[in-house]
Amino acid sequence: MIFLIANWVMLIPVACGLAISLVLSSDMVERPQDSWVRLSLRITVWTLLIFALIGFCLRATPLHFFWIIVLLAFASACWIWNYRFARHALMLVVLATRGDTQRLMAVTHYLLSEGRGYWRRKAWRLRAALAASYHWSAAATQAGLATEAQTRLALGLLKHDPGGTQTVRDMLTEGTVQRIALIRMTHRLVAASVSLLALAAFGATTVLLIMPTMGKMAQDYGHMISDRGLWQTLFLDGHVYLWFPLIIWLVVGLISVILLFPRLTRHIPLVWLDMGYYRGLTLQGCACMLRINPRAADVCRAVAEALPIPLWSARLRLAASAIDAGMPAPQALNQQRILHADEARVLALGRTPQAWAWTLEEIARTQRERSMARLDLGSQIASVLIVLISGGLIAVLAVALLGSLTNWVLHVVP
Amino acid sequence: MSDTESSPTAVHTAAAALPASGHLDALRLSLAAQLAPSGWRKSLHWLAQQIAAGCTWEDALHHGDWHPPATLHALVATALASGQPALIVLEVLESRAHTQRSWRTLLSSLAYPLVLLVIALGLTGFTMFMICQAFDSSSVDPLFGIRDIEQVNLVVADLRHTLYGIGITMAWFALLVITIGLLATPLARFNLLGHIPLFGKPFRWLALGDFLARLAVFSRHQATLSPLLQTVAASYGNDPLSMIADRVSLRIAEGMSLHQALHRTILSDRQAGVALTLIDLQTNDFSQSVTEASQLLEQMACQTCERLSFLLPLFVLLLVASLMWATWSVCSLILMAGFSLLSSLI
Repeated sequence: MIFLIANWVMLIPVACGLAISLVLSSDMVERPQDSWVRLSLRITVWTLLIFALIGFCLRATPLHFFWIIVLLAFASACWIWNYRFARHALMLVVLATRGDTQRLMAVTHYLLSEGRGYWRRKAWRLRAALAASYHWSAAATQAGLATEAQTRLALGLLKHDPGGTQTVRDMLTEGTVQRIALIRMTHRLVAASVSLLALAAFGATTVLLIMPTMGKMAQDYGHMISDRGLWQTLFLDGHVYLWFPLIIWLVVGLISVILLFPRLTRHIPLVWLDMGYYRGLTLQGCACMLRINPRAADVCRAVAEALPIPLWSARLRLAASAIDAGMPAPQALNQQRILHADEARVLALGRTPQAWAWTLEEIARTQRERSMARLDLGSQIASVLIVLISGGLIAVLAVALLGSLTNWVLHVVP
Repeated sequence: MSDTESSPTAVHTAAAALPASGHLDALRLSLAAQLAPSGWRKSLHWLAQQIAAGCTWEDALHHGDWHPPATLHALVATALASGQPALIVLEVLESRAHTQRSWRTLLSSLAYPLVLLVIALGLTGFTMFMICQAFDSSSVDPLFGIRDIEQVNLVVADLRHTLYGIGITMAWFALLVITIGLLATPLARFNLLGHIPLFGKPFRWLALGDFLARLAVFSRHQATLSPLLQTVAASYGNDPLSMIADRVSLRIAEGMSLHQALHRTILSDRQAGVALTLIDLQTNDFSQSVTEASQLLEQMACQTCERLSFLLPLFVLLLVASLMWATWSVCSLILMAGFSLLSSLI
């Protein structure tokens, strides 16, 4: 009864808060300068928290602890993602200023006066870099806004074209969209892994709840059962079968989570997931640079310098050396596995740097689309496989359990 | 309608006799109808047919057969006063369609977790209700030992309390929604939606982006800021953004800059203020600056939606898993009591 009363009582301040909000916000077109709305909101939130705390103290079950952990995890994830969002949003703001120092300074001034936390710190660093006469793209890198590969590549290329080209800016926007799509696909895998980890834990908990009774029965009545071995395996040594799927899911989940961090994947060539993406990025960088500088070796060096991925930078440097040594550019790029053989043949058909730039752009676009399609399909197949395998495992456990129970009832109960 | 939908040859002949601007306006309105929300399409098509048939804008707007939604009427009337109605309507609807794509992203990021949560809560509630009903109406008591029946009764009482809890929470939620729906003014509803955690920020940013995009469209045809804002306010009809535009216009008349006036409204916050700072630093193209700020806000809103579309389903999945776990642990307790009964029978 106390829970019912608490339920009703705790909703009274919510109703009061709502009524106050409805009255105050019916003609509120500017952000409130007075503190009435904030005060009513705070009273509501604190009352809710106090009642929740009282309820928790009166009756705390493992489920309550689990929910608290989930809520804390959610709050932490939001906090981490706020940083990612702030960094990306600031980069978008810097790009929107189009390199105009006056606008950039105005933005930093605003952030220093009204921003908080991460925004304020980044604005401080950005202003310091601008005051030290850095180019705006270099200032953004110095301020730590360019952590992702495509951002650093685009900003690195801007050094060679101080006015800033629309192509590079488009590349940055497009690359960001693609990166987000990649992250979403990886997230799909992580979500599948985490949800199925929960499913496996759910199955394991179920069997763990039943196991002590069943184990006791196995000891008491085991001699009366024909398939005693199976009974013994399931209910006395069954923990092996429970921990096995749990560990598998844990490993899958961890690998998926590691894939979320571009800083790690950038230095690990065996992560095939992002290889197509980085190749597309490299080729797109080359295409952009070819429009600015027609010399292929210089283009390769500039992109190698701007690209923050050691493997691809090294390949580009080797290709530049080969071009300097007299090898045709398509062949050098093919030799370093930057271009496939058929792509190199298509590139060799071009006679001018503009044609090469256009061809490289098209190859990069095709590569991006292909890698995205493959990744999309791959992540969906992996999700389905994870579902099927874990469903199969749980089904096998359930069938074994029911079979043994039936066997036991048939042999022991009569 | 039958007059306007006469044979194609007749319409073509009539259209050929019209000045080119009539054709162009009709074409623009037809294009606008393709981008418009479904409730506006019929009215826009009708208007396009009238203009193509040689009717003047004033006659078409005052025609007895034209019954557009209030917001569309306000937009067309304002656009007509600005000089190039068809072009303005088309541009406004183009920018609106762009914002609508972001809206759909926002709504789709919320739809899956909400549906999943409601289904999970519904199924859990139904299972609990059925278990409680079964134990209320059955005569299984004599079959259990004293210790077991006490345990089972405790579990069923817990289930009943949980069921009450879910029911009361749902009832309160429904009451809140009905209260807001019935009592709140559009502006109050806008304020409440704009202050919901996680969802509120992108909601406000998209509204601000839409407002700026419309401001940019009208600014190409009107130079002075204060009348421009009044025009934008009129074009929104009864929408809450109309009141906001009026207040911004008032603040500008008091000597405030556009950035400051917009930043004071309920649409803005600290992060949106960064985008708004770009407006006051325009070099020579006001419309371009406002468009850039609008695009920046939309990009920021989309980024937030991306975050929501990842975090919310994961969080809801964990909650649903915990609900399943709780339901199954209750069922397994009853199962254990059943095992105990079997043991006692042997």
